[in-house]
Amino acid sequence: MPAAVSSPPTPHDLLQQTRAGDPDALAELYRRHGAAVHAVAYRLTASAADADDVLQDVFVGLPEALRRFDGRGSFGGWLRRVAARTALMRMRRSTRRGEVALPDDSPAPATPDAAARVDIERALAGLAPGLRAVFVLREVEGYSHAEITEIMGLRAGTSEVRLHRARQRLRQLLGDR
Amino acid sequence: MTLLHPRLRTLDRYADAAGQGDPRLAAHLLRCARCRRAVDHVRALRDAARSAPVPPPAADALERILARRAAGDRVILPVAAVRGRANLPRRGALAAAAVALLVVSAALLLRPHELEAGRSELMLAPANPRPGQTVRVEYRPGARLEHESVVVLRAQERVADAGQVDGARVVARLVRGRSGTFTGSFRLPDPVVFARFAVEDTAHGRVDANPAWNAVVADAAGRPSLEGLTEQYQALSRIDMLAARRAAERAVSLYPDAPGAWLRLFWASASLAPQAQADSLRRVHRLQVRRLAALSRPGSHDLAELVFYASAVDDSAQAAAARARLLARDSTSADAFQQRVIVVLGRHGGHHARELAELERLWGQGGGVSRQLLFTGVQVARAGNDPAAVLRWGDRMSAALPYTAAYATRSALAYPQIRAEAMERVRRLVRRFLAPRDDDRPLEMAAPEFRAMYRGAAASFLGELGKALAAEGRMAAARDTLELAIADSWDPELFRSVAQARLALGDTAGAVAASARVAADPGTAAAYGDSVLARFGSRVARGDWRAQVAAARLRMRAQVMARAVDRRVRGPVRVADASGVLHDLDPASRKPTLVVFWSRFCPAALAQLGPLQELSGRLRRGGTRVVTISFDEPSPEALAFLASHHYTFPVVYDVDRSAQRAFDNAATPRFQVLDRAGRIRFESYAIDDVLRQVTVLRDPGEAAGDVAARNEGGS
Repeated sequence: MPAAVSSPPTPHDLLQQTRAGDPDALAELYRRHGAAVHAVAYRLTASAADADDVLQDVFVGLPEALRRFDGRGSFGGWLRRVAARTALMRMRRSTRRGEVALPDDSPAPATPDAAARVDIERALAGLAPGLRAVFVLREVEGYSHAEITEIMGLRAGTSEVRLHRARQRLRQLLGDR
Repeated sequence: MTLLHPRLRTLDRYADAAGQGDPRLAAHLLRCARCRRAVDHVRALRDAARSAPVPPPAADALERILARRAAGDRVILPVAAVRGRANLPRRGALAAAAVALLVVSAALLLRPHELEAGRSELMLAPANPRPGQTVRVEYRPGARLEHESVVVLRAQERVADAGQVDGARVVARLVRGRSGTFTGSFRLPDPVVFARFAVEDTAHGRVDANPAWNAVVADAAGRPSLEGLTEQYQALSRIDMLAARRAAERAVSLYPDAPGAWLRLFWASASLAPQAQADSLRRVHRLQVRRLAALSRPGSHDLAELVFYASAVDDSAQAAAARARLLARDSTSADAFQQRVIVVLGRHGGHHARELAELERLWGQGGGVSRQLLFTGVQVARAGNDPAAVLRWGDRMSAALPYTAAYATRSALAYPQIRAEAMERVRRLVRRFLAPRDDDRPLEMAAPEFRAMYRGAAASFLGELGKALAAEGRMAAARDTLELAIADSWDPELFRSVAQARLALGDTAGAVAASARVAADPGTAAAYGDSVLARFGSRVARGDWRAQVAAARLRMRAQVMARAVDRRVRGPVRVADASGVLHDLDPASRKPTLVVFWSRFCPAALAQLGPLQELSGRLRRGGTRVVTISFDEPSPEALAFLASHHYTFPVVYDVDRSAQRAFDNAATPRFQVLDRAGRIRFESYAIDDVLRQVTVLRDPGEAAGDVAARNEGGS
């Protein structure tokens, strides 16, 4: 006798079940979107530990937060925005606490490509948090300036100015190659 | 047409436009290798950033997320900012929540966000200094102190088991560099395990404080010390229980065998967890109690903490066992005396004379090292109605813990049998209050406010002295002392005492003048004027009375305004309502606004919520906006707290601390009164003067307006 085959839950069902507090549904959402949330958080905070904390906070708070997801637009896009805001809040708190990221003592990279990647990582980590956030949101995550203004709670025009400053600073840090 | 080299910013924009940019610029780029390189560099940066590797999430991340959910942990996520007026919420089951939402909604106006405006930063290196190690300080001023050239760093330093610490001292002078950043350095002396910091300018008395500006001193191995983490928890738990819980979690992770660390984690978790999970939380912690009890050779302090931990999770057997182990090993440390006091109270079940006798015996054995013994001595003496013991224990407590002197003196004043001794202590206290030491000034309090607070305390105790003199029948001395008390303050209760003293001395005109001040106060019932006129009959003409009340109002106004400030709210305020939705709060509302900062974990704030409930209804009926801002998180527990106390004043939550920054306030409770334009005009730590402050702002020009009419005796 053939085994019964159950179809995987639809995205809509998954959100409904997560909203209702189902841990299995939350785990499934984590498997589908956890890496993306973690990547946004890591790029914004430039810290693996902070990114892990943001990842945890986002998924711990997700069932309640979903009550405010109106279903317009993609869930993944909405979740990345929430992750970005959560990471930004954490960065503000860390700065107020006076926490300073420690310099990276990792060994020298072996190849020129790896060296370039390590350089850009270090340079990004060396940017002021407000500049890094705008650079990452615009250049890596692909948000428009209007969207960045909304996500970060900035004045109109500030995002563009910060992006320019971030690039200038990165030019200084990396050398204009 | 020749195009000069465009500005770098223009090239950036061109790179962003992905081939859709200005054709003249495109033509220029074909000719100009330098500008082409700049555009290519922007694109190369983008590509490099996109291809930079991202480490994978921690392997146990999902497991920890599910465990946190199962333990009842909840996080309010910043889902979206509300653009425009919020929809009015439907009335829910909890009246308090509904009222809060309605009032907040009415207060909302659309404003652009700029959360970083006015924000300052304080950075310490190293973040966890060792005792005596030089700490470098960088302070980037927000709007508040941006025009200063030199500021000072004050520190509230705590040693292990510090108890209440209010005062702070200057530890460094910070000098502005070319970049606008202030720098300096300091060292924390050896016994200090934790410090909180604030920056202030000495010229204008402005203070920039933030609860997050603190440092835990490291032990010899470079770890944050357990004592430091404990004091950090104590300091944070009054204002931000989530931050306090993080401190407790850190302590547990670093010191898993320290019962005190687990005790504080339990307290924080129990405060934040839903009531329904209280039993399961206690069950989990009972397992920890047993594990810790089984450890070999714990120290005396650990045993004392284990007693409290076991008691907190309702494991009385483990508590008794730990106490017995502690007392078998050590009977004269502060921890041991604390436990012995508890044993005494348990043994005699409220027989105060016997308890006092035993406490006296502990005192004779050196028990003065225990704060618990000193506090208990005063409390039992009061409960036992023993004036001599009240005086004796009060003196002991005041000598060991100077901040308790006012409490001890007030306790003594309640007993006629020791009035002369109590009066002597009042005089001593007044002398101290009139010449306060700056090292006693709380970290967040500006010097002018501190001096005003002490002047107020001196006036209050002079009033007590005057009343005590009157009770002894020394009416002339009572009158003179009371006059001194009211010279620089506005206290209707003291005005009544002055009126009585003057009347007793046959000074009817003076009694009427003092009564007019009572009548002029906005907190006085309308019927008071009638009762005064009825009492004095033909000796007071109605017209004279009306004029005296009007003059008293002018005097009240002058005294209230003498303590006014005038500063703007720095940057927009974004607060969450009970359901976690964020709103912009506009400080200007065409009417005065009372803003109250509080936390349900701050005992001092809780003591003022009852009076606030009473006052807020009155203020709102009179056209004043009331906004209370909690440092708590919006949660079912926070709503249940409001509902269980029947508090209906509006509450919003400062989830991202933008209100704290904008109102430049790190304290709880804190009362700030704003004028119609949204400028902060009054600030205080107590509710006492708020009604007068609002009245003065609401009716700025009147001399003999509605309050005088209300109190002028039915005319």
